[in-house]
Amino acid sequence: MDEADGKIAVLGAFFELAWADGSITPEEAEFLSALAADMDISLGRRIPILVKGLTQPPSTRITNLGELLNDEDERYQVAERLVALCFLTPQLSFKQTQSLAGLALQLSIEAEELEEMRLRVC
Amino acid sequence: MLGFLKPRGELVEISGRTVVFLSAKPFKTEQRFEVKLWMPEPSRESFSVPVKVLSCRSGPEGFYVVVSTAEGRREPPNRIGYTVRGFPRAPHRISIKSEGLPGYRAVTKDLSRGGFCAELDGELPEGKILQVHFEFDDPLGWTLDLQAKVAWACWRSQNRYDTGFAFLEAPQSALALEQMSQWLEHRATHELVPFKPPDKLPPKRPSEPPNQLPRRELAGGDDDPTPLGLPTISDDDPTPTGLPSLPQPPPTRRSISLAVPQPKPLERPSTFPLQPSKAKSSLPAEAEDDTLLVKVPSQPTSSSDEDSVPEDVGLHIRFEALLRGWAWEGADDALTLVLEDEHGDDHWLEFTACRGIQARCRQRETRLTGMAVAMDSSLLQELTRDEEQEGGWIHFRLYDDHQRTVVDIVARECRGLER
Repeated sequence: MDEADGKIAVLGAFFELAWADGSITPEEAEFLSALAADMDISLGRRIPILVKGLTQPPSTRITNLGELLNDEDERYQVAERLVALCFLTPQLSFKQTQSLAGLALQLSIEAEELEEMRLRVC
Repeated sequence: MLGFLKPRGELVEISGRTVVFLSAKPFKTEQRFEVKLWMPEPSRESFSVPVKVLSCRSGPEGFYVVVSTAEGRREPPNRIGYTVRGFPRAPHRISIKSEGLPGYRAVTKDLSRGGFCAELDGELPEGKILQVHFEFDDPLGWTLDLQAKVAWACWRSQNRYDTGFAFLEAPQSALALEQMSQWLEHRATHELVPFKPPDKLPPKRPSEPPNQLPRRELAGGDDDPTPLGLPTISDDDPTPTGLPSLPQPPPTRRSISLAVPQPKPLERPSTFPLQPSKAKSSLPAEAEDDTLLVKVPSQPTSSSDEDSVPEDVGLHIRFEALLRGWAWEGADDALTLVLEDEHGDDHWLEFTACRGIQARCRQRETRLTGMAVAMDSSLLQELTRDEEQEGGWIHFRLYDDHQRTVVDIVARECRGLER
């Protein structure tokens, strides 16, 4: 897997979290769109991935997020953004928090660290 | 490392191959990466430079000042970004002596009211405070004694280190600092006229510190000598490469965000339907062939169409690109769109099973700022009403920076094409 594929796989985790409650809000769409741009995924790959990710829920669940991100800083960056996505809107979805917990587990992020991130980004 | 997010920085200066930027996180010496650098507002321009870190030290407002060298074949263009230096520096070579210096003496590479840089025969630890004796040639024999703190050290070769010092603003140094300031000012304006040092200057009143800006308060009620809005003491010193002096005013800086970009509020937010609507045709049978008229790339429409702001439907994907054109792959019902990104690279998007395109721009070289995708819209219902009840069609609306629709496309999916 090259770097671009790895980034796309990581982005898949965000789509999984965004779709956990069954729908995508405009705020989540903008967040994911900005995130993909920040990740420097080229325009030609980014647009189709975003279109697909925003219009249909992911068919498979990501299980190897920790393997994709072996750098601790990166894992924290990803976890922080996952937390930010989860708390984009005041209404917190239980399914999204469950999904967040599962993804955080893959990243070896503990509950206290998640709470610290929540306080930081919200 | 996957490089989840490219390291970001606020550009201070690019001079030759030396790139100085502010970063929210520290980097290790010799670390190599491509950094995305941002210019100050209002330009908000950003660009990427592959760099190798030469030194990294604490800087203003919790940021780190990273001095790096640009890698790659091409030398980046010289740029000036944020101001982090409180005082302009000049390349004055002054003899200095101190018990704390390796070899006890050295010559400055540059000097400012805030500090100086000298190449030393050894490494000094950051934070070490020295009593430094300056011996000037102009006027010959004139000397000043100042306290200075090591702000940074950067290895040059063998045991040679460029070392940056920041003057300490101690009350007993106020007179000497004032004289140093006068000397620098004189040298900047009178190159040939000898400097006449004043015999004695009146001591500064406590209410008139050298810098009049308010000071930070430290825990315990002590004042941090660093004025608010100006760099900390270690920022006044020169960076190690003899860069030109930067302007005086304190920086107006965007915050470097590890934080998440906040989405812009939508004018008319809409929720995305989980299941696409399955619209049934309600039009009479004789009108259903109208879709064929739309399927052919349409001619530019009138200016009133171009200026109209359409109904805001769908979810937004923000990007910046130039619409270079489109073409039909007739046999496959596929529409290919060519976009040029900010780096001038072309990207080809294929819209499969395309049911129609409506172009609302006069020319194809149009700047786009995003795309809205919707699975329910009047255009979508109109163009797919004869498609049984399959659903799954998507309405793509590409728009410009005024939210005006440039192109409407109804298709099954959007794929990237490698060309």
